[in-house]
Amino acid sequence: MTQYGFYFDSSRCTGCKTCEMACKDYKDLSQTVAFRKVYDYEGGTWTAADDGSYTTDAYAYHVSLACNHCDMPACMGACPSGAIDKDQKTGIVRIHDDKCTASGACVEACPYNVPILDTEKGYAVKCDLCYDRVTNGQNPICVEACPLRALEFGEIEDLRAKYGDTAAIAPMPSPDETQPNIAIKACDAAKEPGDSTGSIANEMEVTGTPAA
Amino acid sequence: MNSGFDELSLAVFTTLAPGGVIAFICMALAMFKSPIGKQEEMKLNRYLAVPIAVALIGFIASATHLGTPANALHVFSGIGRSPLSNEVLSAVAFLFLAGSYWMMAFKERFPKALARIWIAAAIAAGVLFIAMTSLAYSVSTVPTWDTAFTPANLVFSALLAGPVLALFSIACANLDSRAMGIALVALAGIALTAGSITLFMHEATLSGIANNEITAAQLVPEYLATIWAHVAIGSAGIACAAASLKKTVSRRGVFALRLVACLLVFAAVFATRADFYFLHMTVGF
Repeated sequence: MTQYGFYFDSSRCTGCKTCEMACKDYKDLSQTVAFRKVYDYEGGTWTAADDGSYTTDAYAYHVSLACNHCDMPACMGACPSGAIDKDQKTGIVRIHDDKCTASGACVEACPYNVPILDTEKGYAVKCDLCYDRVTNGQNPICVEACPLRALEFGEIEDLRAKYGDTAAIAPMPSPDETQPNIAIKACDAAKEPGDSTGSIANEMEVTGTPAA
Repeated sequence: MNSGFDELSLAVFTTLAPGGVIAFICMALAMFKSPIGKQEEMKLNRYLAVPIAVALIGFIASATHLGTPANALHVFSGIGRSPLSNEVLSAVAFLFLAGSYWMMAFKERFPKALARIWIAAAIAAGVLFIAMTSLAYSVSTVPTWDTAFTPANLVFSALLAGPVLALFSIACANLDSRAMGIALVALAGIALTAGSITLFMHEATLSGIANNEITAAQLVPEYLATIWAHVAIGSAGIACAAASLKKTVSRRGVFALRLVACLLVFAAVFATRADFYFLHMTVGF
């Protein structure tokens, strides 16, 4: 089986969210729904020395994430009605709305905040890696849109061979749980998963809940 | 964090349905105690309607969080694979067996052997339902749910509310069995004690559960207070139930005391069930 996935270069990403907007436009998503989200991860402090000078370890970087089309999709495992499947040919994880009861079990289970209950449509929705485009030999729309060339699409084996096996930087969880098909280039500031020095600065924007 | 679950409807579901099922089982088991008079058995059969109705209200509450109930039949395609499908199947089986038994019991000639097998099947479905419900939250990416405390809390909650509801149903049926009353109050008391200990133990583990953004203890800061409220309200409920066993209480007094007892124990369970859903978080965002 071929397994497609994304590559994300966090040393290039400026957090402009063009990927997110291109996706919303192409997929005709409503105001409150986004299949790709850009997480702003920030931390560190300024410290005053006795001589009046200041030092800082403050940092900020961006993590652009859509569905990772995991090898062990938690959403698929949780779905009671078999509405989520993993395509044999592409490894793409898709929600089939004709079987979705909108129970929300996938939303609860996904550690990447990916499936969303679209209350207007009455079913759960998420990134399908632009299935129609990629099976026609085109790139996903977010990859095409990125002005910094920070996103790439391809077979995950090729992407990992080219860019390495890193599959998580903070604030992402450890990849052990669901084995996400994403390759990441960590920027200099990037922290390991489980890092406690920083936090998501745009919590309200990406998760709909105010920052803690 | 963008929870799709309607927490409160599921809290209502997991409060009422398991409690109703346990009450049904308590009353059904009384029928296996020989010898039981024909009149007594008939009364018990009629008032099985009370626990069945309570369980049914719970099931209806659980259905209200479905955005597209029209696709609900697909849930049966996940049987064996999906814990939620197993839960739904056992719930449907219980409702079908318990409901059909209740209706069959109106027949003049309902062979006793058949009746016993029928109700035993309903008991088995009920036990299965509680087991499946308690396992439906073992989602490995949700560390606050995927613990041994989840099934323990659910089972102890059912064993707290169920016997008190059975006491109330027996009062409705105007049956007076002191021995059974004492047994039910004792069972509820033990369940409250064991359940509260489990809740306190669960609370103690929360500060150790964290994702990149938040610890579980921060999610529901009032959890400890809720558990104390559970202890206080639950104890008050059991005290009312126990008071109803006094020989000096009038029939109307018994009915009223047990009704209040039911409301109190269900409230005690609901408080901790609601917090359970608020404790949802994933290992990621």
